Amino acid sequence: MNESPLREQLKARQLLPHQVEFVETALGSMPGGRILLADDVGLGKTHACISLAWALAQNLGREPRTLVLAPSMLLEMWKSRLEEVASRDAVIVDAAAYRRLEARTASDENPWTSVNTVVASIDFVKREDRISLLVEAAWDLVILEESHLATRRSQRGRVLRALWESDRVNLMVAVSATPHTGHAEDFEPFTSPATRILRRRTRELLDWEGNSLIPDSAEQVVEVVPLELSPQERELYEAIARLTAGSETTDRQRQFFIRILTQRATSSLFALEQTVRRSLSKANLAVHAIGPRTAHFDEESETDDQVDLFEDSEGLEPTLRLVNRDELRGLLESIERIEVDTKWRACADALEAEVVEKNGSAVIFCEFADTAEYLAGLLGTLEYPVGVITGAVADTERQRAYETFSTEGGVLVVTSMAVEGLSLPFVKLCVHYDIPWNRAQIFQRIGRIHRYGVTPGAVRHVAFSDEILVPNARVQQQLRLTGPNFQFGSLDDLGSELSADVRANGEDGE
Amino acid sequence: MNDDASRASPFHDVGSIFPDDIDLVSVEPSTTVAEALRLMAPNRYSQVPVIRDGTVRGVFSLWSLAQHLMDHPRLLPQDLAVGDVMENIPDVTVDDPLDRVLEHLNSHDAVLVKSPHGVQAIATGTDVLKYFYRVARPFVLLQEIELSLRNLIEACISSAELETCIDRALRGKYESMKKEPPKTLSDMTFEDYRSIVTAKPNWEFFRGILGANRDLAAAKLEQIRKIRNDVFHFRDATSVRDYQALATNRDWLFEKTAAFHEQRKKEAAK
Repeated sequence: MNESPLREQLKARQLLPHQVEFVETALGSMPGGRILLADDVGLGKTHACISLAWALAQNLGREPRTLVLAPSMLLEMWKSRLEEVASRDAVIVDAAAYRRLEARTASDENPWTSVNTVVASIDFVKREDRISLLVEAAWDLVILEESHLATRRSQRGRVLRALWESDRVNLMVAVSATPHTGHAEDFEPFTSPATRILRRRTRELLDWEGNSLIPDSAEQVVEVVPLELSPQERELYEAIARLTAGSETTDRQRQFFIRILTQRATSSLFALEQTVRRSLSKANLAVHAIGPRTAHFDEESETDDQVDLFEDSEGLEPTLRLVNRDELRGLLESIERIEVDTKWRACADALEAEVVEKNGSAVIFCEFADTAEYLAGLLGTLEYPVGVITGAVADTERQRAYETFSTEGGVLVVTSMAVEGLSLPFVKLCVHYDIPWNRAQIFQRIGRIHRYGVTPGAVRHVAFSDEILVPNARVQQQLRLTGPNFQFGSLDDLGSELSADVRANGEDGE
Repeated sequence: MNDDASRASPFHDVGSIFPDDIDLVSVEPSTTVAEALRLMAPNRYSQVPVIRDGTVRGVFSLWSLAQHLMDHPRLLPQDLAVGDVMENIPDVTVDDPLDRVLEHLNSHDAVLVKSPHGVQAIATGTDVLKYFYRVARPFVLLQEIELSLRNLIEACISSAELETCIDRALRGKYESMKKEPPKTLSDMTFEDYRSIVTAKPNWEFFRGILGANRDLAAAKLEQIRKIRNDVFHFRDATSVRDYQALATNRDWLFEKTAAFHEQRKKEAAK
């Protein structure tokens, strides 16, 4: 085969054929190229985009003006990847950094033109007065990550369209494994004939040797460990279950609160305890009144669930204050009577077998930052390295934890919301400490581990069932990992299931 | 000065006061005083910048209004436009040192933060206070946590029991560093307190006060230890969650201390 020098170089940079195809398609579509990159989770979309930034520099013979818009917790990751892979000095522009740019540019100069490679959060640039300056600044390359969050009627959607439709943007790539939210109007910007859509499925792709990226017999089994609860735990769980059963009240806020308590209880004793304590706590009011910066709170999250999952959003606390204090004190007393956390002990046993005996590395997934910190705290007293990544962990620390884990192994505790952008193909044991209420989170979890090159079945998945709050049947149903028909990361399954989930969330709020 | 706009500088400057986005409320010179007051009322602002054609013309403040009414006693506030009563206040840029704002605040209620692109913020004493509070709060909470934990340990065990606890929890660690373990609580680090309380054989001394579940207590103390390390080694900015965790843990120890004294009182009454 006669291969171009660019293709050779990209191959040498460890790109797979589908990634090279993306880079070539993008470069070939200039000027004015518009690409929707909607490959399956785990196919290396971020790496492909950064390689595109590198290849574009080679093509232009200069450093292309590059703008990356990503969720705020991924900014530091993009910055360091741009530095490593594309040798680019990227500047993260947030509110404070933007004020400094303004202070240092003349009144007739666009502050955005004073920086060449920019990484920013879409929520920062979405302010009306900022969008036009941003577009006017002219960009060779714009990358918009998680473009499905830029829904038509949202302010994020305006940012997407302003850039997508501008002739001052030479090449733009919108990235999302789940590009379709289930609403046709959200997909509209991508229906113009100028848009090239790359939507490749893992099972259809080949590596350079012509081998399939996944073996035919993709089968992944999850072990559900039955928990033998102590009488005290049983008492607490049954109390929570009774709350849920008795919540057929018209008081929606109380219903909402009970739902939160239940989600917390199914995650960990500590998460439940912290929620109860926080709602009883007065000191927090001062913290809120004085308003320290809320670095990673995603105000435009799509569903209530995600707001909750986004780690104790501020919006939660006022609701909690509406609840009966005696009820909460009662729960707290039940929690404190529990001597042994059975789930944690079962988790520690699973880790012992993998991490200590086999010297492998394990990841623990959970939904709440509280649970992650609890587990990290307990693991911290053991022998092996422990990292924790939550939406609240600072970007630099996140990067540090990830690098330590990928070089030294041990255990990494991650919340579902914080997993985006992580690649964990070397993990041998995957503990689902709790079961996400939102199915999309399952795919996020699995997608981090079952990446190209990972043989299905090589990873042990473990989950827990207590038969009170978390029945075995629900674990099976939510994880749905068993059986020959399951193929991880397939967009077909994902797309239709997600749309169904979005609808379900909208209707019954599950 | 901080050269890379996106990197946190070790030096506190005017830019550090405002980490987040600001929706600046401003008025035009022709805005009536009544309208301006209506805009200011919901947030209890004491002043707003007066802007025309993108340029600041002055600041309308409660003080400038009072001054004007003193000088012109027959004028009624509803007849006035803010352009008639505005005053000038000093300005700074985000790159200026923080001291500059403090100096100006000696003689003014607020300072304008300006750039060639217009006004970016108004810095008041409250903003500076909030900033200092944010910077100091973790240290204050950690002080409360550490001292209350020390007191609880002291109250829960006798000095003979303390020796036993030290032998069980600290001796091995210190001897591996070829050191003698500390003998008194005030010589110990937070890490030592944590080890003493959460060592399995020592738990019998503390479970009466801290609850039956050693794991839960251990997780809290480990959480504090981690944040404490980050705070005292000045790593990253303290996140909202860290604040929250410190505040919740502080309340936990406050509650346990209160419960302990309550219990003592009851025992004494018997």
